[in-house]
Amino acid sequence: MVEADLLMGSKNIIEYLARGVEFAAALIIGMAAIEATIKSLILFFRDSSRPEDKNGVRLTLGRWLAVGLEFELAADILNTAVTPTWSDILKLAAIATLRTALNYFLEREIRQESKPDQKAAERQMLGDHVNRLHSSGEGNG
Amino acid sequence: MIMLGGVWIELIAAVVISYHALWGLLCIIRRRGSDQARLILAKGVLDGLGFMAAGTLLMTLALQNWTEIRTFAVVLSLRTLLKRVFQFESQAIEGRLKPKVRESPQTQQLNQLN
Repeated sequence: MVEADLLMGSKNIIEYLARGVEFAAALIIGMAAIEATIKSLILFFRDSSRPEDKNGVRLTLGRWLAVGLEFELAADILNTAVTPTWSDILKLAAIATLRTALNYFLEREIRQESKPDQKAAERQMLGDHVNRLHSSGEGNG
Repeated sequence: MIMLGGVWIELIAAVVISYHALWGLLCIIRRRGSDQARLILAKGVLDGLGFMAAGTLLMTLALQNWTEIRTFAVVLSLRTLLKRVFQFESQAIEGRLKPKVRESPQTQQLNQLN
C-alpha cells in the first residue's frame, strides 16, 4: 500500500515537472510570436524597410520556435516516464521529427542569409587594406 | 519495489531536465541568446536521458506481458534516437558559438599581412 502511494506520488511529481516545462515552451513561443508581430507591424508602417529586415524578423521567429519546440520535446520526454501510452509515444516521435526538420531547414536558411553578409565584410576589409596601402605609399613617396 | 526504484531514477531524470529547462528560460530572460539556452537544455536532456535509460532498464525486470515489453522497447529506442539528435545538436551549437566569424583564406592572408 505504501509502495503504491510512493509510486503514485513520484509519478505525480514527474507530471507536474512536465507541465512546468510545457508552460515554459508555451511562454517562449507566445513571446516570440508577440515580438515578431510587433516588429512586422513596425516594418509594415515604415517606408524605408529593406528586405533584409523582413528576413531578420522571419529568422528570429524561426529560431525562437526551434527553442520552444526543444522545450516541448523535453516535456514529452518527461511524459514518457509516466505510464507511456501509444498516443504519447507517437506524439513524441512526431514532435521529434517535426523539430529536427524545422531545425534543418532553419539552419540552411540562416547559412544562406549570412553568406552575402560575410562576402560584404570581406570586401570591406579588402578595401580598407588597399586604402591603407595607398596612404602608406603616399606617405613614403 | 523494482518499479518504485525505476520510477525514482526517472524522477531524478525529470528533476535534471526541469532544472536545465529553468536555467535555459533564465538565460532567455537575461537575453543571453537562443543558442545558449538551447545548448543548456540539450545538455540537460542528454544527462536526463542517461538517468531515464537506467530507470527504464531497471523496470524491464518487472515487465510481465508482451504489450508492456513492446511499449518499453519502443520508448527505449525512441529515447536512444533522441539522444543521438541532441548530441548532434549540442555539438553543432557549440561549433557555432565558438567561431563567431569564419574567415576565408583571403581574409586570413590579409590578417597575416597586417
